[in-house]
Amino acid sequence: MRRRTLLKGLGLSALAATGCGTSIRGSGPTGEDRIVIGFVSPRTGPLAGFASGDSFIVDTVRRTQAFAGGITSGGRKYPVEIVVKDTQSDPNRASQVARELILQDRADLIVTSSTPETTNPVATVCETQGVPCVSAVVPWQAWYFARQADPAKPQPFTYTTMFFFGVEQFGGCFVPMWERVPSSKAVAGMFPNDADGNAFRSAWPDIIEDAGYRWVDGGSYTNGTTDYSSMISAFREADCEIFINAPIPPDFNTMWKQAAQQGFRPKLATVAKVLLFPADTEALGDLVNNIATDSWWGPYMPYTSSLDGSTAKALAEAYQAASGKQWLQTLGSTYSLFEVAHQAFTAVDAPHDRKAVAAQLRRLSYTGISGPLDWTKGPVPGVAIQQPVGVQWKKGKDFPYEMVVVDNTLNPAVPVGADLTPTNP
Amino acid sequence: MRYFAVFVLVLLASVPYTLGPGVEQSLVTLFSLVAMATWWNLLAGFAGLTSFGQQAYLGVGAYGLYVLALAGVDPFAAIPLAAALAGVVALPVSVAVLRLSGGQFAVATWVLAEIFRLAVTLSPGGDTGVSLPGISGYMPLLRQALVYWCALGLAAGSVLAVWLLARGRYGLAARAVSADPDAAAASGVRVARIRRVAYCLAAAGAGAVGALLFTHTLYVQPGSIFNVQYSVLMMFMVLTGGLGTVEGPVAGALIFFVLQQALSAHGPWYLVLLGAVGVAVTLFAPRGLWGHLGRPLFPIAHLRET
Amino acid sequence: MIAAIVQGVLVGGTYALVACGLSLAFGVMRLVNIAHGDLAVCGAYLALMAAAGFGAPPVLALVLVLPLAFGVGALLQLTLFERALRGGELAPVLVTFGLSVVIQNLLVTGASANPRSLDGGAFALAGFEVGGLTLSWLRTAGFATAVVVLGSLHLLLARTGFGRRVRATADDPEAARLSGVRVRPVFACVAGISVATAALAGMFLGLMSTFDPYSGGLILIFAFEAVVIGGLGSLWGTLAGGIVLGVTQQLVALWDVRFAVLAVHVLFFGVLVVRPVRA
Repeated sequence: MRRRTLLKGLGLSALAATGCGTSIRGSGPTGEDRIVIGFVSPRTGPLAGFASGDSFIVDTVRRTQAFAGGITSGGRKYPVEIVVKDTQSDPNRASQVARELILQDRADLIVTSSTPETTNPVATVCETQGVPCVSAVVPWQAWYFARQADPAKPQPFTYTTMFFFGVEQFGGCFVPMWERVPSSKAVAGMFPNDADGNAFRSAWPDIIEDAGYRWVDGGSYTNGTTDYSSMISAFREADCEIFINAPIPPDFNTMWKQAAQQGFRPKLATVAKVLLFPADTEALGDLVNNIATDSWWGPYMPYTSSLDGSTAKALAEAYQAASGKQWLQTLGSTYSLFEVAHQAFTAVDAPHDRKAVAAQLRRLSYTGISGPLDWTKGPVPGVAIQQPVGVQWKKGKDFPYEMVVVDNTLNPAVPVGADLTPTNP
Repeated sequence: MRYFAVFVLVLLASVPYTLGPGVEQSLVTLFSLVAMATWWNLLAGFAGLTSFGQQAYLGVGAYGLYVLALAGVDPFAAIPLAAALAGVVALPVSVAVLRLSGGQFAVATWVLAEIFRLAVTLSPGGDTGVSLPGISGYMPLLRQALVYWCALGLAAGSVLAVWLLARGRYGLAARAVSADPDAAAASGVRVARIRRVAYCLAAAGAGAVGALLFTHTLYVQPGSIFNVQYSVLMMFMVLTGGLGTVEGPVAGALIFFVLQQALSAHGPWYLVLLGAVGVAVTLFAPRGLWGHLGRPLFPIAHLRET
Repeated sequence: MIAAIVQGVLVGGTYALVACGLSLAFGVMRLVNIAHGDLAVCGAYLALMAAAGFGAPPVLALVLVLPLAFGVGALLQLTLFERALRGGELAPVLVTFGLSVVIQNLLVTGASANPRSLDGGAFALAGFEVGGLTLSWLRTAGFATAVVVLGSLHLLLARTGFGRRVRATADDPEAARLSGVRVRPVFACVAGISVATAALAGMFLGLMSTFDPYSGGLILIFAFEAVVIGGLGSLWGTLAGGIVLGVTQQLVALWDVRFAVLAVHVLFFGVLVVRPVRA
């Protein structure tokens, strides 16, 4: 009896809500005289390597005149608050902190970085709640198609934008390196069953075959797999001498150790998503020597900050001085997220007008510490493309292993630092 | 008592008009905890089955909702369907798992959740997860309010349903099974059937919570929704509150919620505390806080020991 | 095919090594220790600490870790498990699950959630050729250790006075007590051995792949599956169970890696359905 009344009551209030939805209390923008930027990244957990420079960057950005002095928007000056949230490398948690930023911190813009597991839930929440969002360090295919209800008929997003690159840039970066190592022309691919892995798996085979190579798929394994024997023996049987992948970092450590144990030593390993950062190299020790990967940022990039004009080299050195640790690529991307925020807010009339900020983000074009970023020329709406270079991990002077540029086909503005050496001679 | 309960419900139902989205967010979490704990308690407290695999049905509910929403069903209308789906899935599964009891049942249900998780990762979203389709038609504020009311309805409905079950013939038989299965069987209680009903209902309840959480988070990932951590929470809420009472899980959910809000800023220490409290309660106060301190607001037993 | 079977047997040895402590505790005390996997992970973290603190390689860390783990196991039995086992069917499950949560979150606060692995030096990366197969020394060592541990446990139980007391207590604690066996120390020793083997297995797992504070759950599941498939409470059965798991995983992976772990779980479920399992 009571249950029925309860259900009826619920039905009624739902009706009432639909009728007078406006009377529901909203969170809305602050309306206060300040701009709130939320920043979401995986500071702990398996993806922590991506975010290890984030605290430093947020502190650096806060200290720049552009942020400390307030952002001028529509002729008025607003103080800026940056609220930082950790996803613990968990997509559910990412979605939760994004909602907290919108509803409790009343963020005007959310910026987020590092892998689809972070950016996709955050962007989903922002798109649904109508809050502008910029993502970085995620292949655009994994960011764009994985969030579509029907990937075959993609719909552009209104509030969410990103900058990074896609599988075609990985191809443009890696294939020239393969060309310089005489090999059996068989390419071993280790791609898990996640947004990144599936994006790579659907795009790589064409690139590989167009370049005259043979594609050997190691299978769509689940993240967290602890045994790769079958994959390794498949690669050995197919005589693979080139190796590509996009796993989560701990899985690559396990796989690469097992590859060494079981005698799979490809002539050239060009990896993605792993060994991007010095912290990843510690777990593998000498096994990282001459592994090649992509680099979208580094002290060798001839770019300067749009906030205060400091160079990429200066930023990397400042990080090393402040933390005692080696520079990493996401320093530049995280920094650029705030450059983009600054660009968008200074260009609109009212910083709390979420539609206007989102529209501004979609037509932005500027040059900053990550080089030129142009949202008007992306492969799909809302995406700006960076041009990475090929690098190898080589024994360094200040640190055990350092990234050295070995191929600049995609971005000739970056000077080459050393010759390409086979991973396993 | 009844009037008081109705008053509290009305008060809670008006939150979207009075206190706004910030409070709604926290209360949705609290309500889903209450519902989860209540259904877990039906299994453990009344049927004597400790499942560590209820996250399997959270996941079935969430992914069921995804499939239904893809097919064009309104996400909110699809929540009860997703719950029913979880209950139906549980039926054949119960044939296998109910052969076991105690620790073996616990681990077997856990393995089952892993099977479901791995099966779901074979879908297009893979390990990264999927966004909820068909939700963009709702205004953000209205959507949040609807999620809130669904959560409130689910929590209140779960407590009410378990109470009605527990105080009827079924509850009497279930408590006999939980106290001593052999003796219950000897006195004519159909043990297997009692347990099967509890298992399927608890699965449907978990399915509803899973679907609701999906409309709340808008994003679901296999590794998160199928995480054993959910069973950990269910267990501690029920244990601290009081196993086998109607009020216990609600009290336990409140305690957990307050602890989490107060202590989560200090990292996972509150979980350490929770684990320790769970162990201590099991060993030294098996009837839980409510069982020892509170008076039953929802009396279920005619022969309740005093 | 043959390569897959051989790899499967070797991997299965590791599963059996984790599982034997679980099997022992169940066989003797009827205790399903949900925290078993987490105790194994603790072993790996202890070895990591030994390596970071004293620069001790994993083999030397054993000298430190094993006695410590034995002591922890005995202590847990005397303080928690003993009481829980008297509290009915639910209590041991709830208490060990609670213990598992405490361990996991203490590890998170102490060592963060970042994945780690143990550095086994050149030995851990080396392989050798046998009949056209390349096998890892580390895995072979893991398998050999499992056989040695299971064998010595078997001998201990079958041939020694201590073993007789354990078996008598397992059969009927009351009768054993009446005939002069001091039950508490016997159970404490068994729990100690169980945790020590878990810690040993945890170190091998840490050398072979990465671990984080939450790894214990999956380790427990695999161990439990090995115990159930191999027949509850039987040590050689546990080895067989582990090997069946490992071989199934490798053979299915040969066909499609996506189904490898899934197949193991489904196999376990199949065993549950066809074979009556009595506690």
